[in-house]
Amino acid sequence: YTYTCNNITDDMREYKITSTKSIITSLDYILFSLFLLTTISRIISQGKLGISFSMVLFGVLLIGHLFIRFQSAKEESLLVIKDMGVQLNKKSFGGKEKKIFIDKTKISGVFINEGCVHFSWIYYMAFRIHDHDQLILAFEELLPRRNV
Amino acid sequence: PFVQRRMQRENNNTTHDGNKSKGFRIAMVSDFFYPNMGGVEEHIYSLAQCLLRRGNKVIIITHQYGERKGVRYLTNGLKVYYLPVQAFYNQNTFPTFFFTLAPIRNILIREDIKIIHCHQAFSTLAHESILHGRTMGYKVCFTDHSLFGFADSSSIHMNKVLKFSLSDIQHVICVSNTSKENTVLRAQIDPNLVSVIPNAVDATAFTPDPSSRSPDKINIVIISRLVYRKGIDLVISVIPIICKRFPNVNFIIGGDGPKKVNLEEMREKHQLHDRVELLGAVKHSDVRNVLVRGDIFLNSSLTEAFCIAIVEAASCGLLVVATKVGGVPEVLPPHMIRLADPRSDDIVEKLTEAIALIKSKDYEPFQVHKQIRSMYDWNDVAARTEVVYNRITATPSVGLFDRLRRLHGCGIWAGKVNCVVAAIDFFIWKFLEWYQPGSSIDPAIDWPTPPPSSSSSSSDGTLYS
Repeated sequence: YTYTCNNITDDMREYKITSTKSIITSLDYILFSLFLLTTISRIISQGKLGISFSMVLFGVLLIGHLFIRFQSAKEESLLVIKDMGVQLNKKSFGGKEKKIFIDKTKISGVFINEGCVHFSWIYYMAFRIHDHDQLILAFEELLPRRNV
Repeated sequence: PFVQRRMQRENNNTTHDGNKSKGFRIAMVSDFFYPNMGGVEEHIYSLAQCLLRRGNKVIIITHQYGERKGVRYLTNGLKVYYLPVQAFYNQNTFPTFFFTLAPIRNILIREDIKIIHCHQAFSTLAHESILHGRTMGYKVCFTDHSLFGFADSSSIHMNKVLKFSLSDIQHVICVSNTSKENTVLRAQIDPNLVSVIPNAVDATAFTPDPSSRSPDKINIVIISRLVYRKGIDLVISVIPIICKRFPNVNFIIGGDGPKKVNLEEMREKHQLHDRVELLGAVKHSDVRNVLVRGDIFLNSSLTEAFCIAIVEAASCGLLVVATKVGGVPEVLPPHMIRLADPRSDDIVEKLTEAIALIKSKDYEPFQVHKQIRSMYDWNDVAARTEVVYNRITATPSVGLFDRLRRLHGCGIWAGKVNCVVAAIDFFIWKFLEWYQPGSSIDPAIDWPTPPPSSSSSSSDGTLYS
C-alpha cells in the first residue's frame, strides 16, 4: 500500500492509504488456470463440452473470490477538520464508498492500542464516542504500519 | 541452514531501536495467571515484578479469562497477553498442538523476546510454547511447581508429556530438592540441567500482629483448599481430639472445597460450633488478617513440593505444624516448625508440643518474622533466575535433526510420535515465515523502564514501592 498525507487547507488534513494490489490477484490466476485445465481435460476425455464437478468447483471459487475482492477496500482515508471533527472514508474496488463523520463534540477519546486479529497482534487506532459502547476504528482493512 | 538463522538472532541483546539493553527479554508463559489466584500465579507475578525492577523486560502470555482478552498492563508496565483461546478444564487451554504457533510467534517477534520461561507442568499452554519455542530456536526454560506420582494413569500420561517437553529444553528450575529428584526421575533428564530455586514470600505483606490474638485462647489456623490432597481427612480426625484435650484451644478454618461438608458434619457430631470457625473462601488480600488471629498454623497436606502457605504463616509469627511430605522439611528451620508424620496420632502429638510452647510464651513472633525476611526474598529469587538465564543464553543452538534425535529417544512409540509432531510444527513455522514474514510484523513499543535497583538484597524488599 502507499501512504499519503495531503494538507488540503490549513484546517483540513487528509491521511490516505491506497492499496497497490490490483483487483485480480495471483490466486485468481491460479484458480482460472485450474478452471481451464479441468475444462480442457473434460473436453479431451468426453469429446464435447460437458460440466464436471471440478469445473464447477473452481468456477465457483473464482467467482466467489472476485466477489470478495470487489467488496474489499481499495482506499481508506482519514480526513481531519480542525474544530469540527473527523471523517472516515472507505472506498472499495467495486466503487462503493462508505463515509462516517464523527463530530468533535461526540469524541470522548482517541487512542492507539494493540489487539488480536486472526491470531496476529496489530496496532489499531480507534475513536471512543460518548454514549456508545462500541469503538469506531480508523483504518479498518488497510492497516498502516506502526511508524506511520 | 537451520542452525545458522537462529544463531543470527541469539548473540546480540539489542532491541529493535538498536539500544543495547543490559537486561534479558523474557516471555513467561502459563495457563495460570491473574485473575486466577493461587501459588503459581503469585510466583509468576512476583518474579516478573522483581525482574522488571532489575531492568529486564518481561511479558506474560496466558489464555483469556472470560471477557478478558487482548493486551492488559499490570503494575510497573507488566504486559500481559490474554490469548483468545478457550480454557476447557481447570483453567487449562484446550490442547491443539499447532494452533497456538501463529499467535505466539507473532508475540515473540513483535516483542523481540529472547528467552521463554514456562511454568507448571499442568499447563497445556506452557507445553505447547516449549514445543513452538524450540522449533523457532528460542532459549526455553521451565519451572515445575508440583510433585507427581508414578503409578496412577494420569501421572503416567503426564510424565510422558513432560518427557516430550523436557527432552529438548535448556534448563529446568524446581522449587525444592525433593521436587528436583521427582522431576529428574519423571522426565528422565540430566540432573545438571535442573536448578533448585525456592519460592519466596513478600514478607512486608505478611507481618505479625500479636494484638489480634486472643489473650486467653490459643487459635489454630488452617487455610487451604478443602480437598483430599490437602489432608483434610486428617484434620477432621485431629480436631475432636485436640478440642477434648485442651479446652482453651479453638480452630479457625479458611478455604472452600468438596471436603467442607465433611468438616461441617464433624462439627455437628461433636457439637464444636463455638470451638471451630469455618470462614469459607478467603480472599487473598484477607489471608494475612486471618493468619494474625492465630498462634499456630496447621498444614496437613499429603503431598507438597514447596508449601508457600507455611512460609506466609511463619512470616506472620505463627508456629507451624506440618506433615513431613515432599519438600516441606526443606522450607523452614526446625525451631519454627514441628514436622509430623501424615497420621492423626503424630499430628496430635506435635500439636500438643506446639500448644505447650505457645503457653510457655517462649515463641517470639517478630524475631521469626525477621528471620523469614532474611531467608526468603523475591529479589533473591530473581537474581538466581537471572543466573539461569545467563547460562541458557550461552548454550549453543541445536539443529533440527539433533532435536529430532533427542525427541526420538523418549520411547519406542512415543519417540516416533514426538518426531512427527515436531516435524509438522517445523513445516507450519516455515509456512508462517513465508506467509507472514518477521519484517511485516510491527515491533511493539517497550514500556519505559526505570533504572534498575542497585542491589539484589535491598533492605525494604517491597514489591509495590
